[in-house]
Formats: sequence, C-alpha cells, structure tokens
Amino acid sequence: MSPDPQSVRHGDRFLLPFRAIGRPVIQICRHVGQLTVFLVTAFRHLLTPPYYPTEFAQCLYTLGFLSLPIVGLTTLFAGGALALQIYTGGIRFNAEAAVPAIVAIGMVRELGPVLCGLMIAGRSGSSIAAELATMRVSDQIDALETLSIAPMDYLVIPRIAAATVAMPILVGIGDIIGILGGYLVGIYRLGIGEVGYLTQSIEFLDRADIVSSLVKGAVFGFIIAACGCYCGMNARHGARGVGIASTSSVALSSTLIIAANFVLTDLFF
Amino acid sequence: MATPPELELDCITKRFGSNTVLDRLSLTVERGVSFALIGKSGGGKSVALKIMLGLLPWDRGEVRARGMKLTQHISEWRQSIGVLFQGGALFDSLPVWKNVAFAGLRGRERMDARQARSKAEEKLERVGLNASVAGQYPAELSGGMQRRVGIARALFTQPQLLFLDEPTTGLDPVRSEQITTLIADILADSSMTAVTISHDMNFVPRISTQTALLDGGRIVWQGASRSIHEHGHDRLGNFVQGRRDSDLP
Repeated sequence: MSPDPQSVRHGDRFLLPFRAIGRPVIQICRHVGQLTVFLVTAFRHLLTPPYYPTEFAQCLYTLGFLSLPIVGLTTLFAGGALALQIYTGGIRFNAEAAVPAIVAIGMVRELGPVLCGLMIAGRSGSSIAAELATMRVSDQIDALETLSIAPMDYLVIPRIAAATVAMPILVGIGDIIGILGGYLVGIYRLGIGEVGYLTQSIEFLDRADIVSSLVKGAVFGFIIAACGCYCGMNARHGARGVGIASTSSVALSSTLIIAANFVLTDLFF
Repeated sequence: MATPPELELDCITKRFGSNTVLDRLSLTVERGVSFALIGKSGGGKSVALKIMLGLLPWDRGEVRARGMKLTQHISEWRQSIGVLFQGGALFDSLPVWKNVAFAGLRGRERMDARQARSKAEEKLERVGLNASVAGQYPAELSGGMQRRVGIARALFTQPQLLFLDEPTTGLDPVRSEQITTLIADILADSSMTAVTISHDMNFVPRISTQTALLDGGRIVWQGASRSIHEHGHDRLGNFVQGRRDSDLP
C-alpha cells in the first residue's frame, strides 16, 4: 500500500527544522574531514621529494616581498590609532605615560600578527585560491598530473612553505612599523618626549612577546596558504567556482586566524 | 605470447550520485591504432577519458594499460603518454617554450634550460610554429596556436600513446582544418597509438582508423572510421546527421 501523500507532506514539514540544521552540520563535518585529509597529504608531500625551490622562491617573493606595502601601511595607521586611543583612555586616570609601552605590547602581541594575518588573507590567500581554482577549472591541474608532476608538490607545498616562512618576517616588520606609527603620533600629536617614548617602548617589551608574535605569524601564514590551496584545489563549476573558492578562502582563513589567535594567546599567556 | 593491447577498459561503471555516466563500458585500444570515441555532449566521453588517464576513480570494473592494472602502474603509464586537453590547458604563468618543455624541466629528467628550450623549439617547429613564439605567453596566442602548443607539449616526451580531447572544438573552419591536417600528419609519421575524443564528424575519419559511439554510458556502435558516414546503424546515423534518438523510425 502506498503511503498517504498528506501524511508524507506532514512528515516532511516535521522534519524541516532537523534538515535545516542537519545539512549545514553534515557539510561542515565533510569540509573539516576533507581539509584534514588535505593537510595530512600535504604534510606527507612536504617530507618527501621532489622539491621545487624555484617555485618556493617565486611564492616567497609574491607572498612576502610584494605584501610589504599593504602590511606597512596597515600597521603604520593601526599603531597611530592605537596611540591616540590609549592616550584618550589613559588620560582619564592619569596614565597617559603608559602610551609607548601599551602601543609596543599591543602591536607586538596582538595587533601586528592579527592585522597582518587578516590583510594577507585578503591579499594573498584569495589570490592563491583564485589562481589554483582557475588552474583546476581550465584543466591545468589535470595537465600537471598527466605530465607526472604531483600538484601537491608543485603547487601546494611551495605556497604553504613560502607563506609560513614569509609571514613571521612580515609580522616582525609590521610590528616595527606599527610602533613607529605610535611613535610619530606620540611625538608630533600628543607631545610625548622623543627619548622617553623609545626607551619605554623597548623596556617594556619582553623576548616572549616577540617570540609569540613571530610564532603567531608562522601559524597564520600556514593557515592562509593551506586554506587558499584547499579552496582552490577543490574548486568546481567554471568562473563561479573561482569566485566561490576565493571568497571561501578569505572567510575560512580569517575565521581560523581569529580562533588560532585566541588559542595561541592563551598558550603564551 | 601475444602483445597485450595498449589500453583496455573492462566493464567500467562510473556514477555521480544517482546518475550513472558510464554503464559497464568496455573497450580495447590495440597498439598502433588510432581510436576515436565519439558521442553527444554529456554522454560520458570526457569521464571515460579522465578514467583512462587515471585522473578519476571509477566505481566498478578494471582498466589495464599494456596488460597491467592502471592503478598499480600509474606513474610509469603517465611517463609514456602525451595529452592534448580541450582548449590546450596551457600554464598561463609560463612562456610557450616552458609550457612545451614542462615535463623535461620539472619532471624526473630535470633537463638543462638551454637543452629544454632547443628541444621545445624543435617541437614547436614540428607543429608549424616558429621559434619566435617560444618567448610569448599563452594568452598572447590565438586559439589555434594554443592548440598547436598543446600538441607540441604532448609530443615533447615522445609518447607511445597520444590522447586528444576535442582537438578542433571552438576553432573556426580554417583553423580546424589546419589542426586536423597537422594531427593526421603526426599520426601518419609515427607508430604512436592515439585515442581521440571528439564529436566533429569531419575530423574523426581523417585522423582515426577505428571509432566507437558512446551513448547512455555504453558503446552502442564500433567499427572502421571510414564507415561512419555510411549510416548502417540507427543511432550512429542519427548522431552523424544530428537527429535526436526519438526520431528513430
């Protein structure tokens, strides 16, 4: 006997909220699983030759050197704004003298790595995803495989390695420029003494602050490149797929950077 | 002992969700033969090609290359093949000569750049392009030239088996004719086995000796390429004349 269509429709309506929750949960689990498999495979390829040093150097130049202007400008203004905010807040309880120390610690421990991470995710992460996605939808990745070149070795590993190496350097430079931004605002806008500012900035910074900043940079670099490569390599459906890969890469890496930042801050606390 | 065929697909089934694209597909490509697989768009030709190249896993059946399981010898297999992808699939970020010599520069051989460039220019000349295009980027070339570069890249490693995926699709009649003549010449000059995927009925009889029609995920007709215009078979006749199967008497 066939089921009563009315009861089927009723049953469907009853299941609707469960489906609405279940589908995205299943999708998230699927993506987490695929990303894990992708990372394990990448790690395996990282440990075994062949290696492509030319591609690594090229990625280092594109991801690192060419990102310097955006990192420099962002951290310069962020450092300046931070100095202004701390001064405005600090003046309420006569703590305006703490501006140099807080700018230095704030830039090195938090703002520098996170800002650099988010800017590079937007600039380079999306570019990695779009480039690999275009290669995927135009059969270039299939062509690589038929030429006996493993796309993991040739495309993924150089990008992940370059981002992991370049990001701590970018973060280090960003930290210095951010402190410089705070310094310029402190000297020319807030009237803090030149020598005092520098002495305070250096005195209050601990080696652990610098180490935590650079470690965060390396972790964020890895996240950015891994997300870009994962989204790009799994792109489908032509130009639309390239757009989706690029957007997903930025969204995924930005979220993971914020989450990883909390975990790392807690670890270094 | 008889030489095993170059390539055998034995009862291959491939599904995407509930959609069966290849349904127990079996075909054999003998050595030295130029084989063409024809069929309408969405009929599973490209999926069959990807399976033959080891780019796509299949659900059931077995693929054998020179008598050995493809999955177990994929690396050696790929060393002996050349592929022209639909549209060329050239690497945009590399100049033409590096595209052609890619397998030499980045593959196991790791050729010296000068030697690789000279061999690439030789292959470019073979496909009717002069050395002046070697330094250009793929985006600077016309569709026909890109296809020629793709053929030069496929020939770089002197493959035993050449795969051609829709070599004339998207080209104007003049360029299509030029590419057809070029491929026919290359195949006539060598003892290479060739597998071509196409729906161009003017092209297929000129470059292949055997043809199979793929429809509904199965081979529905197989025979000599020169006879495809004789329309002895309903489905083949419909396909060649561009009629729907529902028009069958």
